[in-house]
Order: sequence, then structure tokens, then C-alpha cells
Amino acid sequence: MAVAASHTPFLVLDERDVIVEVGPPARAQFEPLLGRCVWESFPGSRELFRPHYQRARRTGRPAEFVQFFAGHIARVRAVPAGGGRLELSWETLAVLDVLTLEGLRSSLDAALAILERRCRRNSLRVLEGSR
Amino acid sequence: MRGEGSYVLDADDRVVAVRGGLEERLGCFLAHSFWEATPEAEELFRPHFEEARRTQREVEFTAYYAGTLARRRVVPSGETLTVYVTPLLELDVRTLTTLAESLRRIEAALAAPAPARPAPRARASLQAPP
Repeated sequence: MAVAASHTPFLVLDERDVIVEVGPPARAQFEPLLGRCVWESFPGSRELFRPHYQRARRTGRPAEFVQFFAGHIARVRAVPAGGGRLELSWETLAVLDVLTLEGLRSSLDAALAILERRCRRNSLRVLEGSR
Repeated sequence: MRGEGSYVLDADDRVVAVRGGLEERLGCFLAHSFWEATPEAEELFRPHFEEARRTQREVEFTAYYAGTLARRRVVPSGETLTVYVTPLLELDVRTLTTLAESLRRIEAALAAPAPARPAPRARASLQAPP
């Protein structure tokens, strides 16, 4: 089962959010986690990601969102694949530079700007959709 | 949090020994320049290392580097330095909330006045074996 171009990292969750498939570009990070619940593997991620996954499952339509987690900002796409399964792919937009406090503050500013732009775009979409 | 450890630098700042919790991070840089192993650390650490070599006295400082706020005690012996590292706080980048909280704690710790150094005799007695 392939969800995106072969260079795009992806993985598949079953209906219990267990990782059941991992695409080649994501194997180094996720292959050891095959068979494990994604929330147990990434403590603190559940409340950030699960609402989007639930929306995708409930509506049967892809959910796309931008989220900060573990020092990365990524655009994540969750595509319902039947039987409660979800195909997840993502693109990293920014990575925090934690080496020095100066680098951290500057990369954090850049990361927050990305999130803010994304929120504004989403708000505009909602407003345009309500017309 | 990563554990305490120490490293030894020769006169050219090459890593000649690594002990304790720093072995995983610095062990593969034995015989290499410490500055190669620690990008962007030079302007943070070098002034303290130079002071220790110049004065031939211990220098202690607290600095944030690579996700950890740590206290460093630099002990000179001629041009050789032994640096003892005690981690104090870690940056938690899991979520924006944990990041903001941990960064606030680190900044507060850095802003706090440094504790007074004990008199040399007291230090000597603290260091005496039981």
C-alpha cells in the first residue's frame, strides 16, 4: 500500500492507532515501532494529533494540518484507508536549532511564524467557506 | 537527564579522555578537536577555558548547550584541562508547552545569581575522602 511519492515518508495506523506499515523513507525512525501504538511510542503526541485523525476517520476525508512535535514542525496528511485505517504522510517544514540559546530563540521565532501563517490561512479558509 | 561526566583536553583542545555520562556523546571524538565535537560551543566555553589556563585556578560556570543547562568546573593542570560537567536542566522539545516551560526554567536558572563559592579550606574539606 503506497500513499505518496516514494520519497515521502509515510506510515499506516490501524483502527487502534497501532503502526502496521512503514514506508521506506520513514523506516529508520519508525520500523522498530511496528506493532506498537503510536501514542505510547510518542508520549505527549496524542492530544495534538488524535483529534485530526479522528476527524479524518469520522468524515472519511483527508485531514491536513501543521503541528509542532519533538522539535519539528511538520505538515501532516491523514488519509482514511478503510476499516478505520489511516495513511499518514508528512513533510518537515522546520527543525528547532537547540545548540545555543540564541539559535533556539531564533529558530523558535521562525517556527512560530510558520504556525501562525498556517493558522491564519486556515482561518481565512473557514471564513471563505462560510460565505 | 544525561548523567554527570568529565572530559580532558590537551593544550590544543583535543579530547584526550572522556568519562561517565559524556562517553556516548564525546567518546568518538577522542584525539579530535573538542570544537569539532561541539559546534557553536567555542564562543560559550573558550573564554572560561582560557581563564583557567591563564590563572591556573579552577573556573566554574553554568551554560546552556545542546539541549542541556549544565554546570562546568574547569580544572587546569598546566595546559591540560579537566572539565567536570553536572547537568542541571534539560530542554523538553516534545510540545510547544513543554518547550516554553523548560526554556523558562533554564532562563530563570541562568538569570539567578551564582551561589557564593566556598572558601578554599572548606572546599578542601568537602573534597576529602570519607
